[in-house]
Amino acid sequence: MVFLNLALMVRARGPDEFWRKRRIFKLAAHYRSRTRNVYSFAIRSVHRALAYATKGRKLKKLDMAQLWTTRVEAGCQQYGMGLETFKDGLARSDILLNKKMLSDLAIWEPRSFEALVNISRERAAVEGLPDIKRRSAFNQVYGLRNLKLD
Amino acid sequence: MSFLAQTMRQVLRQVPSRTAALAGGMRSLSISPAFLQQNKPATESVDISAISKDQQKECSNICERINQQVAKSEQGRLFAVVHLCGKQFKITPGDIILVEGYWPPTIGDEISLDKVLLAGARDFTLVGRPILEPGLVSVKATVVEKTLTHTKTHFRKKRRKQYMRINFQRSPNTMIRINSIELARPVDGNSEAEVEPSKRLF
Amino acid sequence: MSNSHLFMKSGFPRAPLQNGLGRYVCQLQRITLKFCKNNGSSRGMRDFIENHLVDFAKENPGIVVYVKPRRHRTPVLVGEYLNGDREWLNCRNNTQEEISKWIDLLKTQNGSSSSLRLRKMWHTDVPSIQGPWTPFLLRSPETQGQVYPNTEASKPLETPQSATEKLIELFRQQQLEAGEEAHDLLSKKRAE
Repeated sequence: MVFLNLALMVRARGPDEFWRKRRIFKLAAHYRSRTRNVYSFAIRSVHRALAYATKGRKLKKLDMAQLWTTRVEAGCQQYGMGLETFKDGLARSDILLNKKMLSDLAIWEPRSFEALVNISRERAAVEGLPDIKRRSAFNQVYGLRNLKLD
Repeated sequence: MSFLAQTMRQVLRQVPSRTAALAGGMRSLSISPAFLQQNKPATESVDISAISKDQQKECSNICERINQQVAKSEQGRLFAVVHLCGKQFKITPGDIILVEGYWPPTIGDEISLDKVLLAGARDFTLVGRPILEPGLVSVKATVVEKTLTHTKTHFRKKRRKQYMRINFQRSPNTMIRINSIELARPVDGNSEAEVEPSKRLF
Repeated sequence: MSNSHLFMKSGFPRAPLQNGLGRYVCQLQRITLKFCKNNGSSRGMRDFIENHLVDFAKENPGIVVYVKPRRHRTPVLVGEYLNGDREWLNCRNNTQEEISKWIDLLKTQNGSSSSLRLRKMWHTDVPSIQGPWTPFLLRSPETQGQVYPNTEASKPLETPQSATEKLIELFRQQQLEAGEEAHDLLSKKRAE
C-alpha cells in the first residue's frame, strides 16, 4: 500500500484491506450466494464456521463415545444381557477393555465378544447381580444354547 | 434338603450343556491364564481342589487343543488388543496405528508392545485380567513416521461482547507399523484356577 | 480451519510402500538450507550450519544436504521426499535450536503432512479375523424353512409362572423330599 501523505498512514490500522479480506474470502470460497462474495456476509459465516469447527472437535469425541455405547449395548442384548450388567461383570473379573474395543470386537470379532459375554455372565451369576435371567429379544438365537440360562 | 436337591439338579443340568458347547467346536472358548496380581490376594487364594475334577480336565483340554493348533501353526492370523499411551487398539500384523501427542521413540525404532489385554485367532481367545501374562504374546512394531498434525484453528467468539480469540495448534503424531503378533510360548495348563467358569460351583 | 474447508484435504493413515514391514527406509532424500551470509534474520541458520550441519550429514548418510547462500533473502528449509513431496519452511529469525527441531521434523516425516486432515487414527487391511458380524450370525438355520404363522415362534419368551404351576412344583418338591426321607429310612433299616 502506498501512502501519499503521513495522515493517511496514521489512519491506516492493521494489515492492508485487500489481504485481510482475501484471507476471509479464501475460507468462504465454497459458500453459496452473497456469503461468498460480500465481505460483511462472508466474515459472519466464516466466524461461525470456525467456531463450529472448534466445538465440533470436542463433540466428535462425545459422539463417538455414544456410538460405542450403543453398539456394545446392541452386542450384549443379542445374548440377552443388559449393558450395565455386562460392564459390571467384566469389571468385576478384572477385564479392562474400553467401550471402543468392546464395540470393535462385537462387530469384527463376534466369537471373542461371545466369550466375553460368557465370562461376564458367569461372574454376574456368581456375584448374584440382578438381571441375568432375561432372555434375548431375538427369538431363535443360536448362541443361546451355549449360554447357561438358569 | 430341598436346596441340596436343587443344586444337584442344577449341576446335572449344566454338565451336558457344557459338553455340548465343547463339542460344537472351539468357537467361543475363553481362557484367562493366571496373571496373578499382587494387590489381589483374593483371586490368588483360589483353591484348585475345590473345583470339580471334570472342570479341571475340561480346562486343560482346552489349553492342550490351543497348544496343538499353535504347534501345527494352524491358528492363522492373530489379533491383539494392546494398551498404548492411554488408548486401546485392536491390531493385527501389517496394521498402522497413530499415537497422538508427545511420545519419545523415533523413526526406525523397533518396539514391542507389552500391555496386551486380549489376543485371539479364528478359534480361540486369550483374555487378560487385565493384561495377559508378560511374555505370552509378543507384539513387535516399528515406528514409521513422526510428524505434526494439520493446523487446527481454535477460534472462540461471543456475539455482542467484543470477545474474539484465535489460536493455531499442531500436535505431534507418531505412526507405528505392527510387524508381528506371535504366541511366544504354549498356554500353560496350570492356570485352571483362574479360568472363569470353574468358579460357578463353589 | 473448518473441516469442510476447500483447501484442506482429508485422508486416512498410510505408510508409503509397506515401509517398516521389512526394514525402515528414511523417506527424506534431499534437504536444502537457503540463507543469507550477512542478514540478521538468518543468524540462527548460520549458527546451525557452523555447529551442527556436519554432524547431521554424518549421522544421516542417506540424506543429501545442499547449502545455498543467497543475498538479502530470508532463510528457508526445503525437504524433498521419496514420494515426490516437497516441504518448504520459512525460518526467518529462528534460533539454532528451533532450526534443528524443524530439520528433525523434516527428517522424521514421510511427506508434507501439514495439508492432510486425518479422519482415522488406525488403518488395517484385515479388519476381521473371525468374520464380521452379520444379522444371521446367531440365527439358527431352521428359521430359514419356517412357515408362518407359526405357533412355536409366536410364543412369548418368558411366561410368568402361574399360581397353579407354583403349587404343582411345591407339591412335587414335597414328594421328592418325602421320597428321599423314605429312601433314607429304607437304607437305615437295611443296614440294621
